[in-house]
Amino acid sequence: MEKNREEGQKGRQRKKISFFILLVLICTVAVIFLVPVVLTVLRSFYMGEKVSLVGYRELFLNCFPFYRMFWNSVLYAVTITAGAVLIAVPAAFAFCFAKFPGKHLVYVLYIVLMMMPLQVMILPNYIGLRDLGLLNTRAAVILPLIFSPLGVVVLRQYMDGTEIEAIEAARLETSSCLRILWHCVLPQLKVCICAVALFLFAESWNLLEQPLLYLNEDSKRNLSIFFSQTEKYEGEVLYPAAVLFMVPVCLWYLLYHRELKEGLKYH
Amino acid sequence: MVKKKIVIIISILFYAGMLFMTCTARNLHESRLPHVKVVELEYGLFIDGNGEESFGVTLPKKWYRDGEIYRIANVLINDEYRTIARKVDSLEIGLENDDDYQVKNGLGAREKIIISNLNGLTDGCEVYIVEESAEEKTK
Amino acid sequence: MAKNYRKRKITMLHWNVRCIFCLLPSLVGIAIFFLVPFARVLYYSVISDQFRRKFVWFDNYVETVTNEFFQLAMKNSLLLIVIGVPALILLAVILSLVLSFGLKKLPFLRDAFVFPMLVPTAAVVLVWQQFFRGVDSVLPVYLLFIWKNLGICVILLTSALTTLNPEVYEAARMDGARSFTIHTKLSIPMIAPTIFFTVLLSIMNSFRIFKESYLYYGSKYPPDHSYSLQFYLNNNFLKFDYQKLASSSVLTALLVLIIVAVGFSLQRRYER
Repeated sequence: MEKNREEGQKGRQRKKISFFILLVLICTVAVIFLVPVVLTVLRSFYMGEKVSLVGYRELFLNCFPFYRMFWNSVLYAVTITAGAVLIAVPAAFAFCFAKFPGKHLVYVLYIVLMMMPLQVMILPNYIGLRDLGLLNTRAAVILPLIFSPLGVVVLRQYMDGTEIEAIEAARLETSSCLRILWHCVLPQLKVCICAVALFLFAESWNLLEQPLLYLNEDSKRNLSIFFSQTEKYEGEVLYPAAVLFMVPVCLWYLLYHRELKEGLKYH
Repeated sequence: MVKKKIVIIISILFYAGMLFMTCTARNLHESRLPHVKVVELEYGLFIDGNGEESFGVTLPKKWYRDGEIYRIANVLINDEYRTIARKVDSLEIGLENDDDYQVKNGLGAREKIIISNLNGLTDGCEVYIVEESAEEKTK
Repeated sequence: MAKNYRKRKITMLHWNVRCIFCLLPSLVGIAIFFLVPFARVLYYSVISDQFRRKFVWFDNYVETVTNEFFQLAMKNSLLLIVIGVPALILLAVILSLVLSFGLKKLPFLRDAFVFPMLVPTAAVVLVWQQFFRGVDSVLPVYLLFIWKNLGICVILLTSALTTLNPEVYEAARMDGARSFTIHTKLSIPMIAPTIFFTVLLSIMNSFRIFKESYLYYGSKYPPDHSYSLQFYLNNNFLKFDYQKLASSSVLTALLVLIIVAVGFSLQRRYER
């Protein structure tokens, strides 16, 4: 009896020790992971060796292309996210609830397109845009990304995972897809849509190749290109600009981080 | 973890702040610059006090006091062209008459020089041009 | 009876047609920007040049494959896939095992790993440049890749681990097995499908390494070990050499298709 209790205590102690060791290890790894971000923020407040706000003052009062590129980035991110969600939700709905010949084939096509890396798609997009005469406009960056198949595939997987019984009942009342979509499907899909929107926002905020290749004028370029041309700008503005570049994505993440984790579960 | 309302308020403040700065940054910046008047120098026939003639850049004496002349240059700062003031170090005077000097070296034709508010200027500082006038012939 | 059946059939047809209308914007967009242009790219890759339009079939492909820059870019991509992706997956598996079993009560630690996924690369590349200033190997780019992609791998693996049955673990612990053997013999095989999917996803993401290396090296020409495929494409874009661009795009697409096909067939064979 005594021996069992002692062994139990020793086992618990060992568990506690291993728990703490693991905790320390993971915390150090987590801190290492956050170090680049933290360092960027800290360095933005430094000028040389002293703490000063010179960088921010220079950025706000002396670096005017930054504003133009910032609002371009915002425009691209918002329109791409909104457009992609608007197009992907009905498409996923159709894949989930409609039956038509060749549905599986088209879905496989979507998956294949989703898997293709950017390097494969950038030339077809360029040719499509060139023939439509859309090169060197903002639409050139926005349109191909709105039709990206990623949202459709993720949303359809999520919809397949959740059972929507009310559909059959609703179908007896109305055959309007939109109304069924709005009332039955969307409330349950909100989490996944938020996750997909956050992911798309982060991706389109970070765009680099497309503005570089499709746009010739600097007036339409976005903030990632600001950082690829660092020699054009004074050194002090770079770190504060990086901090400001991170802020919108961080804010969206704080809003929707729970949804992001839940939304990615159903893969 | 974090209350959503706080994050939404911070977001709105952030974007509003950026919008405000986008609209007012240039005005704020220009209001802190020295406001100067400039004049464009002429190149032409110069007749000095003794009647000698030659072609050169005319520099009125009234603007060459204390031996300091600042000219306007355009440089790229943060990927935009800005006007800065450059001190002219080696100015060589050629002929001379009552009102003007003739410049042999140091200033070119059609270069603009600063004619007002010279106190606070340093070499390479940015300026804001308030008024630009062609040189008046005082003869 | 027959009338009811016909009515139900008509409403079904009506429903299907309306659903297809929902799908239409997406399909049209994909056709305009992806499918039709890709067909034209295929056409471009088999003709000699834009003006004479002679069919030369595989000449362009041969020219591309023997181009030293293309070979360099491919070699770098494959190196990243062979070295970077396993390192990433190993780290992700270890981390997700620890997070799911060792530290169950602290879910917010996962946030620290997810966050780098969303941070725009351009913002952190400054710190990276400063930190790795003198290092002349491909290490900074690989570390950037691992840093950015660990988050999604950890999320996928931890959510797969939470669906496992805890009773099996109880049984294994009663038998006196140590944690290490439990996890290697139990957990990993049980989440093998998710691991496959994560490997595939990481391979796809490894092609996006261009952004990281372009931002890291700025406008300077990248050194040999970081020359990625996009640089090759960019250079040919500037020269408007559509033939080379088309053939390299098609070749890359083939490579990706092969990887995906191999991955899926391996997964299916493993499931049996």
